[in-house]
This record gives sequence, structure tokens and C-alpha cells, in this order.
Amino acid sequence: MSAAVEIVAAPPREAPWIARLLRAPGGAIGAALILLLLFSALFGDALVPYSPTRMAAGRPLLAPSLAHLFGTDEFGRDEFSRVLAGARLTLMVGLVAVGLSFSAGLIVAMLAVLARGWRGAAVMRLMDVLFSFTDTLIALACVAVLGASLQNAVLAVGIAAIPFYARTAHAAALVERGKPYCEAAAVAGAGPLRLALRHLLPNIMPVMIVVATMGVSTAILATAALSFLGLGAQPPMPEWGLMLAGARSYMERAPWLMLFPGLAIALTVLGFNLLGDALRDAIDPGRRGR
Amino acid sequence: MSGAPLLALDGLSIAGGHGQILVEDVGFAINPGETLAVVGESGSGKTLTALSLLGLLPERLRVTGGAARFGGQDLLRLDDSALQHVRGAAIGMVFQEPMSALNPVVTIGTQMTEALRIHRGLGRAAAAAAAIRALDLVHLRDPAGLMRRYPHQLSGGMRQRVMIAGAMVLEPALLIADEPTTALDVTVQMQILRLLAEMKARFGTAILLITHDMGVVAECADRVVVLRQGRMQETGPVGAIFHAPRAAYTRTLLAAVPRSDAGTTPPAVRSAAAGAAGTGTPPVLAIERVSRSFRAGGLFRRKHHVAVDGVSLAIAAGETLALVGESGSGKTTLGRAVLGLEEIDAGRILLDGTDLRTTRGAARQALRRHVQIVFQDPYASLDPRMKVGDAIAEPLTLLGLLRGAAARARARALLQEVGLPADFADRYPHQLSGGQRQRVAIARAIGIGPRLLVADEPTSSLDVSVQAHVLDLMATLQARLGLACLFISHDLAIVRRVAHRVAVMRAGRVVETGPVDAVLDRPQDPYTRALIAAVPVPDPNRARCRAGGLVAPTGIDRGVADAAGTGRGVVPCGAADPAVR
Repeated sequence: MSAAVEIVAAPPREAPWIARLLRAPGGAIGAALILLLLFSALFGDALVPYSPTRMAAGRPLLAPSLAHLFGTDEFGRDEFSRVLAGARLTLMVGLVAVGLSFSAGLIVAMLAVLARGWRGAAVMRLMDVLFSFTDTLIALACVAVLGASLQNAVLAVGIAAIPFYARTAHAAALVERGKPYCEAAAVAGAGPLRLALRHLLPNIMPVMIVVATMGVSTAILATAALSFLGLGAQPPMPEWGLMLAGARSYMERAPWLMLFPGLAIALTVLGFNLLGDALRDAIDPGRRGR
Repeated sequence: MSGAPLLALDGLSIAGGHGQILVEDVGFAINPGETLAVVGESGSGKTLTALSLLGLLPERLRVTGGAARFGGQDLLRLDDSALQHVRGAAIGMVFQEPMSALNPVVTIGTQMTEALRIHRGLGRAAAAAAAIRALDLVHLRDPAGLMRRYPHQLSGGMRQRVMIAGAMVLEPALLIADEPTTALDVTVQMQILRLLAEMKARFGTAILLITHDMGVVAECADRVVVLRQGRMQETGPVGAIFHAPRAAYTRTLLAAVPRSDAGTTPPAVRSAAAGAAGTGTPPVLAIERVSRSFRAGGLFRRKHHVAVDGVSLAIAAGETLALVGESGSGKTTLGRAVLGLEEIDAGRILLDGTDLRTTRGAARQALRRHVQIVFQDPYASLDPRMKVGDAIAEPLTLLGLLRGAAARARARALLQEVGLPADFADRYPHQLSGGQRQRVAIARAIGIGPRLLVADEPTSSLDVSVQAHVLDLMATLQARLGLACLFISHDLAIVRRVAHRVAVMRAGRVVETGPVDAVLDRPQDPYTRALIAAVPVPDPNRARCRAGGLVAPTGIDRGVADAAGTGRGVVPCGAADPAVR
């Protein structure tokens, strides 16, 4: 009938989020840095001029040159090869740690939202208690119990970050839970599980993905810190944090040994942070804005 | 009018970030002491026009042409610091949402004195004294005490009074009021409109009133500008606009305004409803002495807030019962209780004779499918990440009625049933307009064949012309499906249009109930009478606050704590009975 009056053409399709992401300068730089890291992680093996663990590839503590782009360390290992090989470790560390804390945190948050009342409150208060210890302290405790190795350091960093993801997801889910569309779903007969999986989860995902992207850099830093303290990766692993620790003794004679792994960590962290920032801008306004 | 106009706007054009034209060639003049209403629906550019006068346009938008002569200056060409002197001092502004326009963490006093100290360079004490005088001027009780309060401790009406006091404190020549009463209850709206008229009479302030409500226009405006999609449709004195509109759009706008004072009643079924009640067939919904109270307040100050207090109602098949009342009257709580979204403390809710509370599990689920809801805000009631088709199909699959392709096909058929193209099924809610979304919400609600539809202010967030379409749709579907409908609304004009019977709620109790005509034309309860008297009538001849002049200050909402509020905002209650006029 007269309904035709208000039927208007669909609003112009907004550019897909990936295009908006790459159009922002921060997003493009971040994506480029992450791609570089990804490339090194995938093809580093084939590209390295020397095995990253081969001692005496050159004389010890050589300054950067054409033969050894980043110089050599105290055992004569090629620093360039080691930094390149570290990319894969670093990427694995970031993804595994965040994957662990992300999924565990999300599950905890969903359970807390669904079990309204004192059970939900109890779960979140427990998270608050964990949250009040610094990540490094929890990670240290985990490593102390499990023993020092890269795997355990990743596990520890992952566990330490669970409260953060749980709280973020919980807050986001509570906001969504209060919106009329959730009540409409409940009136339509949706049980708690369906509400969580079909309605809450997709709606908090944009926020969570952004948080997780930034979280990768935090996890990388934390693991590198544990390795630096000798609680993570063990020699002769080409792990950036561990390399920094080793280089500390030669800071005056061979400063490049600190420079390159440090730069690699900084650029990786920067990459994930820029990407996360741009991702938030790209995802947020279109879908969630009115 | 004698002399030059106070503000002469000429050929205003505004373009958006991508060069799209949002406002084109809008011009009008406001004389001193005159109220000019700029009317239009959402997207008409009425708010942009006002913002451009104050240099407050959003960042991406640009003024591409025109001039606004005000006191020998062109407002559109002034730089920021010059505008700063005009804003507040010469032109005051009152916004729609008084809660968000006031800073929630700063006391009223600080906010009131800020402008005085900036524009007048007054000292602390002098500014405070002037602010207190201004608060007194807008008939707020205990202005000195109010200075120390925070916005959340005041009711909506009080906040809007504070806003007006803040705008008037510098005695501007022009007051821009952007939908000043849209967020308020009708009785409060009438008080605010009267207050504006009083300010105008007292100080000769000209008012630029931006509104979508033709009733408000008729009550207050001297002259009217009608905007549509950024273009002027018509301008003229208020009488001419209402009685001899020239533009087709103005006529559409006027025709779409539901009137609460007279008009058509919904078709048929009234007798059927009465008959059903007589023959002993159980009504679709029977609410028996239902009560619900909330514990509010902090750790140490527990308060008992009774939201619904022993309410009994019944609705027969095919009948629409309107539940009217102001915010905080408990009408929404009652609606939610019927849906099972809210527990009740006492009483029974019977659906087709079965008590909701005694059923469990599968039986309750089966009862559930007989009650569906259409929410107020179509932007929030559809899952933004679910395609429209999936949203409509969801109740069907959840209740095991249809699944897979069959459910999707039914969803497409339902879309057509509510007047939308079937291929909308593949769109996301943000790709639809407000009216379209509300149609989707209706399709979703009727898909499983409910017996009762709870509609919670289903049209209050829609433009008037869209409102009419949605109400028509609901009436058509109701007649065809024999739905019983609990229609929750604060808008008596809409109630008159859709409902067969009406129940007036106040402070959790039903104060009056009966057939629509009887209640609205011959109200028995004083509160109902006050409510009806407060509705703006879209007829300038009957308007009560346009000429300004001698309008006695009502002081009705002085000191009334916001009953719907957090329960913390305890404000001493004085002569706070809205029923007593």
C-alpha cells in the first residue's frame, strides 16, 4: 500500500573494512610491518645466509658489513640470520599466547554473563583478583612452577593475560546483553547458549579482535622480557629477548647486538599497535554506528 | 513588524563531506520578540540550519553559500573568537536532551556561572547571585540549593528549566531551541513551552524553535518555515500554514499528525471484544492484581520502589488496549512482565487462561510463542550483525516451526507482508531506515503467529509520516490475524488512533480504564484530565502559549524527583502533584 513512500534506495555501500583499513596511513604502515614479519617467519629459513645457531660463521663481535649485515655476536654467529630466524619464534609466541588468553577469557566472560546473579559475579571477582597482580608477577610464578623454557613462558604470558580479556569481553557483552535485540531474541525463545553464540559473540567480536591485535604486541614484549630474564627461551635459541640479554654484556664493544633485536621487537610491536588502532577505526563506525 | 529583523538568513546552503547538498537556499527572518518554528522530519536540515548560525556544524560539513545578518554582522562569516562572543551572550541555545547537554560531573552552579564569568567578567559571588536569579526566573524551587546539585539529581523537566535559565541568564536577543521538549513527558512539555512563552513576553526574546511536532508548532509559533530534505517548502504565519497550506508536503505533514482531541477510531472489533468479554471466553491476556517492586539505592540507603502496584487488566482477541502514562508510571515494567522478561512479586498473568508462572520448560516455551513484542527503538531491537532475513526466521527455527530453506522462504514472505521487498532479507539492519526496521521488527513478531502483541512505544522514534504508515500496517495485520495488542504509549493522539480501550497508569496504579472515546473525551480521573489537557493541539486557534502574555507560572514540576530515575536522585518533594493544577 502506501508503504512505498518510505522505501528508499539502499544507502550507498560503504567501502569494505579492509579498504578503509589500508587507506588509513597507520593501518597501511602497520599492515606492511606485519607482512614483513610474516614474510620473514615463512621464508626466513631459505633466505638466511648462515644457520642461525652456527658458531664461528665469522669472527666474534664483527661490526656490520656486507658479509655480515648485522655483524656477529660473541660466538661469531651471524646476527642477521638470528634476527630473521627470530621472526618465526616471535610470531608464534604472540599468536599462541594471545590465542590462549583470548579464548579462555572469552569463555570465562560468556559464562559469567550467562550465569547471572552471584555465580557470574563470583567468576568476575576472581578475575579482578587475578587482574590486581601484574602480568609479569603471574608469569614469573607460572614459570617458577613449570620451569624455564620458551613454551612455558608463552603459557605463562597467556595465562597472565586471561583476566584482561575476560574483563573486556564481559564489559562488552554486558552492554550488548542489555540491548533490546537480546530481549527480543529471548522472547523469541532463544536459550542462553544461543544468545551467547549467535547474538552476543558476533557483536562483541569487533571490539575483541581489536583488543587482541594490540594484545599480540603486549604478549611479545612480555615473553621477550621473560626470556631476557632467563626464564623463557634458552640458549642457543634465536629469540629476540634472549639475544638482547646476551648482548647486554657487550653493549660497549658491540652496540649493534642490542640495536637489531631491539629494533625488531620495537617494529613488531609498533606494527601490531598501528594495525589494532586502524582496525578499530575501520570496523567500529560502519557496523556499530547508527 | 516594524524595523529591521533581528536575524535575516538568506540563501543558506550547506554541503557534506562528499559534496552532497544537505541544505539548499534556506532563508528566513526573525523579528524581535517573535517565535519562528522550523519544522521538518529527520534529515530535513532543520538542526543543521540552527547549528550553522552558531558556527557549530560538524567538522566535515561546510557552509557553501548564504548570509545570516544579525546585529550588523554576518554570522556565517565570523571567525571562532567572534562567534564565541555571539554564542551565549547574544544568542542562547537550548538542546533536545537536557541530560547530555549538561555536564554530569559538574554542579548546576558551576555550569550556570561559567557563561556569566566568561561573557560578563563577573566575579564569583556576583555570578552566583545572577545565576540564582535566573533559576528563580524559570520557577525552580530553592535556587540556591539547586546550585550545589548535579544534573542526575534533577528530573528531565527540571534539567530543561536549568538549560533555559542558563540560556536566559545573559538575556540573549535570540534563543535557539532545538526540539526542547521532545525528550519530555507531555505535562512537562506543556510547562516548558509555557516557560519559553513567558521568557519571550518578559524579555522580548525572539525564539527560533526547531521541532518535528506540529502540535508544538501550533502552540507556540508566530511564523513557520517548513523544511524537507534541505529545501524550504513553505513559509508563512502559523494560521496560514495550518489552515491554508500551499505546499503539498505541508499538507502531508498535517494529515499525518494524529489528533487526540477528535478523530477516527480504529475499525471494528470493538463490539467483538466486548462480546467476548461477556460470553465468558477467557481473554487472551488477563492481568490480575500484579505487583512488582524494585530495591533501589546504594549499600546503606535501601529504598523500595513500587513500579507496578496491584494492576488488573484484560485484553480480548482482536482488541487493542493502550496503556498510557508518563515515564516512571510502570507501564513498561508491566509490559515486560507480560513478556516474561520481568518477574512479578504478586498477582497472576494469564495467557488464554494459563498462568505463565506455573508453567515450566516446554510448556512455558509453547506459551511464549503466543506473546511477541515490538520495541520502541528499531535501531536497537535488531541484532546489528544478523541479516534481516535471519532475524525474522530466528523465532521460527527456535520454536521448531520451520527450518532451513522453509524458514528463509517464510521470512521473505513475511517481509512482503509488512510492505518491504523480499530481497531485504539479505540486508543488514544498518542498511534500512527507521520505519523499515520497525516493519522488520513487526514481521519478526508476527511470524510465529502470536495471539498477543506487546508494542512498547513502537512509533515514538519515527517521523510522523512514517509513524502513520507503521500504525496502519499494525492495524491491518491485527484485523487480519485477530491479534490482541497491548499498546504502550505516552502519546494520546496515537492511542486515539489505534486503541479500542485505554488504561491510564500513574505511579504503578491504573487510575482509569475504559473505551478510548469515553476516557479521552470524558475523563473521570483528575490525572487523566491533566494528561489530556497537556497534549499540544495542532490547531493554532486553540493554542495556549503562543502569544506569551499572561501565563501563570505553573510550578508543577518543581522539586519532583524523577520517578523513573535511579532512585538516588532524592529531591525534596513540594507541591509535586501533576494532577493538581
